[in-house]
Amino acid sequence: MIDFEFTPIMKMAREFTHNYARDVMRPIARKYDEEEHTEPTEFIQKTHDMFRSLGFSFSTANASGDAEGTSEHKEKHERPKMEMNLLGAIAIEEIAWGCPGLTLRIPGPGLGGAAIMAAGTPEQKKRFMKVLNGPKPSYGAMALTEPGFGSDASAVSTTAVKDGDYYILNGTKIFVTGGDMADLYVVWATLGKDLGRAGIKAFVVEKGTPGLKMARLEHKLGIRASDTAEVVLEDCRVHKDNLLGGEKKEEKGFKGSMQTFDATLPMVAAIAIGISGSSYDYVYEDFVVKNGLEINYGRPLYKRGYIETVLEDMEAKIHAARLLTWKAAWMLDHGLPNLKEASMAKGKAGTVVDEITQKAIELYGPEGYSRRHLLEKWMRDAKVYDVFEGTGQIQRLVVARAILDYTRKELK
Amino acid sequence: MVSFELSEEQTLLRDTCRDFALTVMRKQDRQADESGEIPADIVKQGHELGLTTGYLPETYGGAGGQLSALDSVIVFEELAYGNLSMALNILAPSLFNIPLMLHGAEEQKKKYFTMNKPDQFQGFTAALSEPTVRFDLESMKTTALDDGDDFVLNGEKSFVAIADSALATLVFARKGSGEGLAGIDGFILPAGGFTVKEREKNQGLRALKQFTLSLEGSRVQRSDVLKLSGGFANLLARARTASIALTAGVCRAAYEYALAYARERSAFGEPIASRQWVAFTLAEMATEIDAIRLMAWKSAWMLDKGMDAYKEASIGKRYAADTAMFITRNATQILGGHGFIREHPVEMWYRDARSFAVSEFMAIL
Repeated sequence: MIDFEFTPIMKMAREFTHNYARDVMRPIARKYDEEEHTEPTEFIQKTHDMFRSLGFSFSTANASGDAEGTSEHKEKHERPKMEMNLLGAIAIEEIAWGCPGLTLRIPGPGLGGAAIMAAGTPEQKKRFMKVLNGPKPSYGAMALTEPGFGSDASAVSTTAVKDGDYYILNGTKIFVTGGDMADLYVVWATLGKDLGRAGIKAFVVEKGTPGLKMARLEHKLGIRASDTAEVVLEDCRVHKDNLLGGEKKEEKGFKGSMQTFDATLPMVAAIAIGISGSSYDYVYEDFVVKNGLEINYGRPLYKRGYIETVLEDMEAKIHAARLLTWKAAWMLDHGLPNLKEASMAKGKAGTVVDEITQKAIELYGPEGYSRRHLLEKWMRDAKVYDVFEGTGQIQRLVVARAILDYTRKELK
Repeated sequence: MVSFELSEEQTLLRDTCRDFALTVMRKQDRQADESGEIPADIVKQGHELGLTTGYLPETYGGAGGQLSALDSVIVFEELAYGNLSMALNILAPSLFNIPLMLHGAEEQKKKYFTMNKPDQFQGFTAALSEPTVRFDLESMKTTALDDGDDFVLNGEKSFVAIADSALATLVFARKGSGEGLAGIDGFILPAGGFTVKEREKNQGLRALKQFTLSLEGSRVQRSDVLKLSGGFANLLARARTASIALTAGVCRAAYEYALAYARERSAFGEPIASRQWVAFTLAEMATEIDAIRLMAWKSAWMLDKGMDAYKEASIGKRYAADTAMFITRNATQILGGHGFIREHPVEMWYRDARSFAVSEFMAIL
């Protein structure tokens, strides 16, 4: 039965995260944008303590894609339906409203954790999640992109060579979000180029493993509060127990790891919606609230002001993207395949956030361009949400293949 | 508890209407558009599906169904997916019935709903828009003056569906002068209570009979006044919610046609769908249709919960109407020259879709 009623937990989470974003994140958002590469130590600890006290792990990892097949699928359905993905989308939108850079600094399982939950064995999930949900702030990173490829994840060239009970990893990984602070990295490597996609595996490499090096930090357009690292693997020995999904399930490696994105795309979309909301609220406050005006919804264009119309357009776009995102997250919570819907949500939210953050500056005039206000920061922050986790174009490609029922060869 | 799942009944309802859309409406859509006539049989079949009076109480000849906005938006999307003119013809009596259901006195319901007969089920309509450039509901000019016994109506109305055959028409007018939505009430006029002028000739919706009406001192008894008690905005919210769902239907028709065409049409040795512009445009169309549908659902859900959906519905209606232009224009574009030719239905959907941004109609759910 179609329903849009939030559970009490969702309502609470929304209010709580919104207040946290407003009171804790907004006041320091500018500082960590200006002071790139400075660790927001206090924020990390405070946020960690806060989520821990709530018993709420702020991650997508709790109920992400199921790469294990039927046994676990069953287990998932027997658990009480907490709708962790939808809850996560609702909460992270509010958090992102506070600061989209700091959002990526929030400790927890992160993208690495999502991959572990999507592709790991039950034993691996237990072992690694214990680390990522431990008493100290920790973070799980994803090391996928390489200098030679971005969207084409099948082009992995980092090698994994078997040596007894170990695999020896060699290669360079770039654009590793949180790569400076991670406790473990999910590193994608190939057992041999000739094996194609079947040869691509994900390995969990723990911090301190010899041969794992953080080479440098990127200097970015936005989300400067979150560091993006280049990670180099030089004869890095990883035990076979850290191969996600285990050695026996080798044929599932790539597909299983790609399922990570079923869970992370709605979250990324939700963050983009949160940023859109910040820009919208900022101009709304100035134009409408401060002037004691109201938006006359539903009046014809010729009876309204330009700005009023633009604000309504913004609100509509946010609304559209949000509903798509909720649906994609909800589908995952209910064990439904959501690849198409997750890509729709992420593609739409990525477009919307760029449009809205750009337009908000124009509406604000010269002041919008000034670093006295956060509007210019949000526009810079926004751009990456139409780029990482698959560009907007890749999302359209995924959706198009799904609706046309085309293979990778039929639609390149 | 959030859910995006149709109930079993809703699934059945949707499938039944989809089947009707494809096997009945689509078979005669082009002919109807060209001739300006909707076959009576199609309207009758729609009635037999319960679409015109199904929600009326059994005592008044209905099926005693529930008045559910959510069920309605699911149905409306399918009907518009079939053909928008036919959908609006089948639903025209609801323009009258729904406001009466929600705001009518018991005697009014009895008087009018019992006029429905097995062979007379298209007896009602409503008149809302006026033929002024840049028409705006808030400055509606038709007036209803209280002369002691009756109300006397003066003004012009436009785009009134099936006004030529309606037994009674619900005319919206303003008591006294002024602006705004609050002062508007409904006045029930029998056939002959006003002058039906020329049939409207529009860019699209060509199969739907719409007329301009002229009210020159038309008299309405007190017992035929539908007091909205400030409920006009809610009726508009209901109408706009319906509009979102209808938009989704027309868009889906155009999208599916373009998708199938793009798979079959070859250029430079491969289907045009394997070209990124075509494929990505189709992906965006699919995404937007999902978004529009979800907006309709959300707004309808709010209405069913008794919440104020005016803002939600108004935002959604405008967004949907805008996006419908993106979708139907690109569907036409994907067909290239064939999109411009009347052998294909895409140009008809493009014309029909333009109506959403400009048409204000009364609640039909």
